[in-house]
Amino acid sequence: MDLRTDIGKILLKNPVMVASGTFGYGVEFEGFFDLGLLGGISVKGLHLNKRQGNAPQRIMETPCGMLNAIGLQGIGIEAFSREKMPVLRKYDVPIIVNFWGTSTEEYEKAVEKLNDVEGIAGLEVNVSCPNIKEGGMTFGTDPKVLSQLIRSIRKKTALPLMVKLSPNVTSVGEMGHIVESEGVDSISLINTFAAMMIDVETRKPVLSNGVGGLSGPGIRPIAVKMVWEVAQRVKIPVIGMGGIMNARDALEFMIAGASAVQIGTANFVNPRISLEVIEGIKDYCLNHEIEDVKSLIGSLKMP
Amino acid sequence: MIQECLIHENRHLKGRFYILTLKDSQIAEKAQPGQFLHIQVQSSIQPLLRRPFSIYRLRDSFVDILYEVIGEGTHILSLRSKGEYINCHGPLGNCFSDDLSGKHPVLVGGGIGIAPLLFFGERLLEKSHTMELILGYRSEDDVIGLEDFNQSGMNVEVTTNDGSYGYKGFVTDLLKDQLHKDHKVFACGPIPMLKAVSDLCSQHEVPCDVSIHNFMGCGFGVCLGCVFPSHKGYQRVCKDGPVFNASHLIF
Repeated sequence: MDLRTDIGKILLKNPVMVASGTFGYGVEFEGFFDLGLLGGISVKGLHLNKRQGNAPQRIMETPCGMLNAIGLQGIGIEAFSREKMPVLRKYDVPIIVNFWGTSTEEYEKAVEKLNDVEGIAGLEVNVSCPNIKEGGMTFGTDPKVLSQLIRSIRKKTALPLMVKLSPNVTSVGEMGHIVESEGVDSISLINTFAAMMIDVETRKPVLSNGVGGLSGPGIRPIAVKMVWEVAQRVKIPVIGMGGIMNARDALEFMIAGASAVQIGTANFVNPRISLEVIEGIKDYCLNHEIEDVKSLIGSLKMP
Repeated sequence: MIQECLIHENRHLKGRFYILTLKDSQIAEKAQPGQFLHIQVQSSIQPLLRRPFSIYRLRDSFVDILYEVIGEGTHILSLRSKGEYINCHGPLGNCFSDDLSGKHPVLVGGGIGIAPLLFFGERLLEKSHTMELILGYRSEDDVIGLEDFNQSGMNVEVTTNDGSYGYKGFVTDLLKDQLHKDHKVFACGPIPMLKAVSDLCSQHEVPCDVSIHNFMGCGFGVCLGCVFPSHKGYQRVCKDGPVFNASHLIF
């Protein structure tokens, strides 16, 4: 049985990656399992510089999910390159660096720095974080701004480029089409839904940021539909995510058109979940006599 | 360490309070006072996240968790029965240091925040330290754990906000009359109480360690959801704490 899949120029040994923001810089999970077993790792969103993130309170549980406004707290590209990459390079696993900026210039500078970091398999452009006041999602929700940003980033790097789309748009398929036209290698989606919770006693938002991003199994069916929409509009590989808790959830995304999936919020509840999903996909393929996992991609039978 | 732990007992104490007893020799061997278990109250996507609980007491291979039913997660926990298995991650976080550097320990707890102090107090007794112990509650209905502290040989002074049990007032009302330069304070409770204790200690130049409670996502330092402000930036309560030198924190 062949579990290999590819996302543009990157070959994965299986379709299960871990999503940015839910897996730290990878090294935090070394104690739980061999990172080399994963299809790929997308590390916590990096900015050029160290970022302290939003003030607490940053998270709250929601029905079958969670709301967060961490605000992209991070150690910055240099510290990542110096402290984390030497550890990650030991593993036979593609490292995808998720990065962001508050202006086109910052994105460009970040790319220039990342070009020089040894061992990076690809870049994931974060244009979809709903939790920072400047930049972030604003780049991912305006078609013109998005296309200009991706064009300038594309010019700066030969590394495989993945764009992580926001679901907070009218037509996610259109956004997928736009970034494909700018020459990116793959598309990942979805980032979190902009959402809000209010404390009725104080009449204040629960999160200090006011709004946050909704994730977890509660959003999964919307994510599957959006992945399906994008996969139909583009020819480049799509990486699906949104509330995957087990192999069957992951398979839904693949059947909808995803070449690979990313596990997100579930990592918090069960740090070994990715391995269980890989095993579950294997079992499914065995039971259904599927020899090549790629044959599942986009195999949806519409009524 | 993530494992299915056997529920030995899930005993109702009074009102909203329960003690969950797990039989797990591995956790019992590893756990240190101040650490917590991150418990999945049932294997389901609702509620999605684990719940953090301080370890209250160890007896051989038994691990006691004192908890208060606050919301859906703790309500479900209260319905779990002897003989069932429950998924636990831990012990997690740092611990109270029993290296007192010659200081006399004063333990201060508030409400459900008394939980880690029994374990820590017992550890201090094992090391032949005597201590002062002040526990504060809202009212008599919330007074819990006293018999456990007494049984372990600790003398407890109790305060209630409304005077329905023990001294009427806050823990700091009792603490301020006793505080001495040779003391070291260890406190766990609601944030306003910890702030008051911390302020008092800094006025008297007494070192103070506090155990912070917060909403948590992952419990092992990855999601950055449970941070608390400090003079060195945000600290992760689950990983850098839950025990902090109070003077480092910004309340």
